[in-house]
Amino acid sequence: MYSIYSIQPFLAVAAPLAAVPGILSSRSPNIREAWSFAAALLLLGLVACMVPAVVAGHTYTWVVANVLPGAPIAFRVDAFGMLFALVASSLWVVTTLYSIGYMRSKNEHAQTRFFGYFAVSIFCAVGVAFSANLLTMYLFYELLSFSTYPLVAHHQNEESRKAGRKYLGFIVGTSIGLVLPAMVAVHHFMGTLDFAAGGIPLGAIDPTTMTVLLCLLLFGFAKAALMPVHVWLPAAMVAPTPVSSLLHAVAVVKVGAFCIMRVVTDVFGVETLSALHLNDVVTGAAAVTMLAASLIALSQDGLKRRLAFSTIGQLSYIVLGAGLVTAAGLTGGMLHIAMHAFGKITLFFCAGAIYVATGEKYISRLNGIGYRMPWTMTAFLIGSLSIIGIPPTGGFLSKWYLLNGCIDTGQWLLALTLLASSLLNAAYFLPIVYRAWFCTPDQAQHAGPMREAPLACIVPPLITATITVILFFYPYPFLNLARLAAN
Amino acid sequence: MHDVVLTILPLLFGSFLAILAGWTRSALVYPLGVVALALSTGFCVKLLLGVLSTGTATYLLGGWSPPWGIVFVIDTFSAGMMLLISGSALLTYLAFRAEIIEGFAEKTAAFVALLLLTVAGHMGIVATGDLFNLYVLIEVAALSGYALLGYGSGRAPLASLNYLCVGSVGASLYLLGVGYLYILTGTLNMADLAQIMLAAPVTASLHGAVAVILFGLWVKMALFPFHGWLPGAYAMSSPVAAALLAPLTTKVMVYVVIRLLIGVIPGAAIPEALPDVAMLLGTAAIFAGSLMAYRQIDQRRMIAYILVAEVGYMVGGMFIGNRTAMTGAMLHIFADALMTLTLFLALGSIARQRGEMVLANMRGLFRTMPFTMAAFVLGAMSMIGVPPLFGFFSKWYLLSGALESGQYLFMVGLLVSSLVNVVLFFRIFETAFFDEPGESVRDIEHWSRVTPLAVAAVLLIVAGLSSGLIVDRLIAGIIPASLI
Amino acid sequence: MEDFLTQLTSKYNFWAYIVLMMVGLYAMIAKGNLIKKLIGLSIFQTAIMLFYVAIGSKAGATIPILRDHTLKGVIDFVEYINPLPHVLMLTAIVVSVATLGVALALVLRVYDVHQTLEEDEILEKIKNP
Repeated sequence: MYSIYSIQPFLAVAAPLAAVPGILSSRSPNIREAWSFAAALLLLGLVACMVPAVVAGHTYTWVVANVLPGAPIAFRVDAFGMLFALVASSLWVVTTLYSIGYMRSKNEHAQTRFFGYFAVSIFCAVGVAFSANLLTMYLFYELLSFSTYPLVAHHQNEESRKAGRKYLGFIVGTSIGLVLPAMVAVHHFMGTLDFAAGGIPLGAIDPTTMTVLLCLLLFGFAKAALMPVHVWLPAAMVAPTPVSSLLHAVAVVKVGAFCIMRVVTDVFGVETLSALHLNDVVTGAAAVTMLAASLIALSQDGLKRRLAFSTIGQLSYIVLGAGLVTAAGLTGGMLHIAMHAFGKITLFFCAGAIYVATGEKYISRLNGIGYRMPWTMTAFLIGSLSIIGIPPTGGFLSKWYLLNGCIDTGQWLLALTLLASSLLNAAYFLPIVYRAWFCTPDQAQHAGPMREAPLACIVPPLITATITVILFFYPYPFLNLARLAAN
Repeated sequence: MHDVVLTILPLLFGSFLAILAGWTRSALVYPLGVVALALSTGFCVKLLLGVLSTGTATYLLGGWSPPWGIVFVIDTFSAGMMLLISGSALLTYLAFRAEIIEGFAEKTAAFVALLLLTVAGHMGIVATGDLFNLYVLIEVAALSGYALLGYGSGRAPLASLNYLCVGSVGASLYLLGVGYLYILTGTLNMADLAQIMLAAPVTASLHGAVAVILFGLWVKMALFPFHGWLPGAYAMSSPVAAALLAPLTTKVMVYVVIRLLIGVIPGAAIPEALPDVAMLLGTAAIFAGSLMAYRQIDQRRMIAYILVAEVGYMVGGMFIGNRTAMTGAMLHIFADALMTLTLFLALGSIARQRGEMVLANMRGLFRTMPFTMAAFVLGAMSMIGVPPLFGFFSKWYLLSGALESGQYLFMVGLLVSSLVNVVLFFRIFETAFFDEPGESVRDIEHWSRVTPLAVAAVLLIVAGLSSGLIVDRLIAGIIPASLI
Repeated sequence: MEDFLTQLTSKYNFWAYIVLMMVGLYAMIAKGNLIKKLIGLSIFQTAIMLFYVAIGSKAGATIPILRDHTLKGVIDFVEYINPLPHVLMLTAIVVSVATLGVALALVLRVYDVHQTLEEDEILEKIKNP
């Protein structure tokens, strides 16, 4: 267990950014997308290079600038950060392929801008993953908020503008209004913002202040979409589907959950929180969100909106894992970042593929779509199984760990909530699958023969669906990293 | 020759030569200004490096030793300020070449001369170690400033006249307070005065003198509710004058107050209620400035009101009374000057293409002037307080200092103003990003305008990343150890 | 009351300049005509000059030209007034003249633009051009 001082984390973070000038100056779409691919592969390579050492328990560090006393802008790669970076960077490769298919077949405007900001967003997400302290994390979190704004409002019509305003209002409002003062306070009390396993020692800050700080940070990282700061996420669904899939199922929202996990484990410290019983605040907020979001999802007819509410519910699984403060719970929470990412991105890819092929956005108009788009709907089925948590999909594993975490600490109520939420997940996903395959011919709005979306839109969901299944049998890179981080 | 003199002399000479050139070879006027400002900036760099390596530089004017003669005293902080002043003036001057040459017709020479004079005045304010000399230099800087601001069309002369009246009253009040201090101590030299005041009995007249001085300076720095002159003066004038003076004037006045607070006036001499009043006014300035900024239609005026709020930041920071907050106020002088400069340069370039600076005229700017808008975004982000831009770090120190002393209302003010800034700037971004520019628009982005702007914008990032260094090397050593 | 009166009479020069200052300030605030405002400003500045002149003077003392000290051998500072405030005011007078000059130049420009020097009329014209 030693720390390696190396520029590698910095290079990895900067890799997506290196593509931006290339993307902006490319004359033809093919060259532009080549840049995106090159950057995505470069990022994945750089991240993967660091995996062996991290799995062995070492960390990479790199200081960029000493800006504030006790809070430099610095990178540190540990197991948890590596887990998230690995998820984000591997999915970026797939999403790039998907974006090309989606954006070209929808003939979207301003594609150069789209790919440019996309790269910047990934840069920010990896930056968050590799942050060594709260300040650096805040820096990338904030940059991510602003760089995704043009993506959310991509369509430039009145609706997307409104969504953009809502998005910024919630995300930036909470980060400046809640996180910033909390961060200043932590710095004031502790003199440092570095992530450290022990966190704040018990008694360093009085319990009331601790509670306030925890709440500020919990709801301040609004990207995690805990209720009531979840409003931006359904609104942000007006964005093109690649954005919804990678950013609003993986990069952006997971950044929020990641931040909360980090705050719980490395800023406050698990021992301190459980000693003060503050983890109940975290689990409480997560449980409420989990149930409420699933219930709302039931009533949504827009496919992407239903997926969005499902995401809100699933994110609070991760937060719940953080709040369980046991090894199993934390492992489950962290693992869920990966498992949910692969499952949900599959679902979004499918939603996008359906939209590309048929123009349908509403669940009530999907009767019989399984005959027309069998590949897509198969992938959809696997994705939803993973979200519900049915073997043999990866989602089962993370839920298993979470459930164990609840039972370990004897929190039966939480365990029941988890189960109820899983049932609700089934209740809002399976009807879609049912509609797609099992309807009478006269009800069917779509029928055979097979007319699928373009290949670039079909292959990515199939890849991610396959990975979802593989992860059930071979979850080791992620599971090892999560276990390492949880202990 | 002494480095301190070398920084100011090119400006005075340049000013003189510009007038001569205006009579004989008018083509020489503009290059003369470039040379003068570049020389001055160069010597400021040299001075800063010198001060950093060998410590405070002192220059005795005319060889008279203090406390009888006038001294110029340059420590690390003031050297940084001098570089800031000359550097930002140089960038403004370079960016607005077209306006300066074409905009004033036969008056170009006078304009350049006044511009150089006001820069020299501002640098003198920073450098001087004598209270009365400070008054004279304040007036030198201000008078040439009034004239510059009056050059605009339409309402500019009236706005400038209004500024002149308010500014003269502020300066006169300062002079009055200095008179009282002179009665009490018999000296005008700042260092000497500090020594005597430490030993002097604390009387009502001492308190009165200090209060009048600070009051006068508050009027000059446009602290709420004495801010009435500022939006008019900066929004109506020619973009050159606004971009030149908006980053400098209020910040230099803040500098003067900080200088007096940390180097001259001992804590006991400040009336007990004064810090509370200052905090109240500072907080009120933040709220009022943000609110008024929200209601503006003209974007230059909007930024002028943000400046009113920023003055509140700095006044609050310096009167909170701890080291962190003072550091924040001092750092914010640099940060605010740089981001104001960036914003005004960008708006100036845009205004040249689009005319009046209302939202409707900013459609599609991201497409037609991408570099200018990129710089504008950086300036705006710094105003909002997004790391790693400069504005975030000064705001951090201010927040941290306010928390240390339990000034929660001030903290709320800082956060609210950041949030209002988000709304204000994204209103512009939305229009500039998403709306179509319209058929008749033919925007031109020339490298000669973009380069100085880009320098200012990049400096925001560079300075932000090196803010630790700036605090360590320029600021920390200046704050007396007694302030904790 | 007695005390107040002695205060008032013993420092009458201070009261005089305060009254003058207030007159100047009143004119600047209350008068609508720009020239009258400037007259107010001048009165205001002059009041402060008078204050400085007053603090330099001393009862029974003379101007500080040290002609006789070689004869006496010592300089008795009680015999001389303090010249510094007076010298300072020479500079201040220059400043105030310059201020007035700039102000009048601006007033000319205002007149060019608005064809009047009454503030309310100008504001009226700006509102309804």
